[in-house]
Order: sequence, then structure tokens, then C-alpha cells
Amino acid sequence: MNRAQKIARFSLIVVLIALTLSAIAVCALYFVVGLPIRRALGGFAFISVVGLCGLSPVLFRKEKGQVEFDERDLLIHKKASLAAYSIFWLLFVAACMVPFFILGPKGTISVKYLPAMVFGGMVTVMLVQSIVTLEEYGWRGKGEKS
Amino acid sequence: MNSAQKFAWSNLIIIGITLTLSGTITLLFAPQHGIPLIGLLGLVGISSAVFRKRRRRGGINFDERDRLIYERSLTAAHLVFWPFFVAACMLPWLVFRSSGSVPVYMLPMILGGGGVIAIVVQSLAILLQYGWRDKDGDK
Repeated sequence: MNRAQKIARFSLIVVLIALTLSAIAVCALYFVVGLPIRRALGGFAFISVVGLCGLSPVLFRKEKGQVEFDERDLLIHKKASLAAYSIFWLLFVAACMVPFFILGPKGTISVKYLPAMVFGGMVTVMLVQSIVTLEEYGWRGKGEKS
Repeated sequence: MNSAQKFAWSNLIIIGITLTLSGTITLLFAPQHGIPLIGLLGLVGISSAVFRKRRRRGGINFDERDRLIYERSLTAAHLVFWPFFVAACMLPWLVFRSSGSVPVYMLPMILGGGGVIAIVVQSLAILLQYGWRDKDGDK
């Protein structure tokens, strides 16, 4: 398994753990503790686990003196980024326009919606980029090391 | 001048005219007369269709160099878009979090601002890489 695959797999696992923990926390706070939904949504704080993805360059260091990234890797990286941003823009437009159409131009929206858009955008890009990278290379190692 | 340069120039001209017109009318008359003119930005979608027409007729006007320039310009656009997007979402949250709510029309404003910034940076990056003017041999 090469470095890009390891980073993609690590990011995918971290993002899925963050989403699962957030969903469990929100459900627990709402159904078990009995908090109102607005306060129970505080369980989404677990999404900050995604910050662990920033460790991937340290965890998966480049080996000195080896070619780590060739034209094929570059092409896969470009495809993954293109797919990620294509989906990001669709969701971004929907996230901005759907509340506007539902609430009307004079409506108001909770200010917490704005940071949620940023985190949602980041998670979407990371998730789609990781899935496309693993889909292109293959989900398991095939003996390659570069 | 090749099709990418024409595409970039047309985007910059449309955005420039729209923002100037909208800003002037807003200042001279009222926001409700000036702001709807921002809809003219939709013409950017037409410039893409117009300047890609020749490619469909079978002429080669997009090689590896053009692809590289296009990809670099997209990267530049997203490098500028992300800080804008994060700032546009986090600053209102910092300012208005005590009041708890913001007007919903802020969302289309963030979307429009992000889109305009991304298109302007992409167009500038295209023109910086190809050059701002026509060069011999470019079509």
C-alpha cells in the first residue's frame, strides 16, 4: 500500500469515527439525557476529531531517496480533488439556497448554521477525496510500495 | 487569443460591469434597485458555453499545456476561495453569537461572494499564465 493510500485510508477512518461519535453523542443527549434538540446538537463537537487528519503527514512520512509520486499518482490526486470539489460545490449551493427558499428573504437562521457549513464542507471534501483515492488505487495493498 | 483567454476576459468584464452597475445604482438610488442587477452575473455561464463551442467542432484547441494552466487556475481559485469561505462563515458567528441568529439572505451573499472570488481568481490566473494579450499563433 503506497503513502497516498495510507493517508486516504487514515482520513476516511478518522472522518467516519468523528461522524459516528457525533451522531451517538447527539442521540444520547437527546434521547437518553433528554436535552432539547438545540442543546443536544452540541454533541457535534465530536466532529473536531477530524483535526487528527492533520497528523497524517507526520504519521506517513516520505522516505528519503525514493520516488513517492509519479504521473499516475498525480492523475489520481487530480481526479480525487475534482470529484471532491464537484460534490462540495453542489452541497454548498444547496446549503445556501435551500434555507433561503424555505424561510424567505426576511427569515432568520441560527448563527450556528454558519460554522456547521464550514465543517460540513471540510468533511465532505476529505471524505470524497479519500473514497475516490482508494477507489482508484484499490482499497487494499497490491504489493506496491512507491 | 485562445478560447481560455477569451473565457477569462469575458468573465472579468461581466463581473466588473455587473458589480460597478449594481454598486452605482445602489449608491445613487436604493439597494432594492441595485442588488437585483447582481443577477447579471449569470451571463458568466453563457461565456463558458460560447468559448467552448469550437472544441465540439473537432478542432484541437486544448492540449497538455492548456490543461496544466486550467488545473493551476482552478487550484489558485480554491486556494483563495477557502480562506474567504471560512472567514465569511466564522466572522458572523463570532460577531452575532450572542444574538443567536442571522438574516437568511446572508447565505446567498456568501455563495455569491465565494463564486465571484473563485471565478475572478481563476480568470486572473489564466490570464497571468497565458499572457494578457494576443500572441502570434494562439487561436
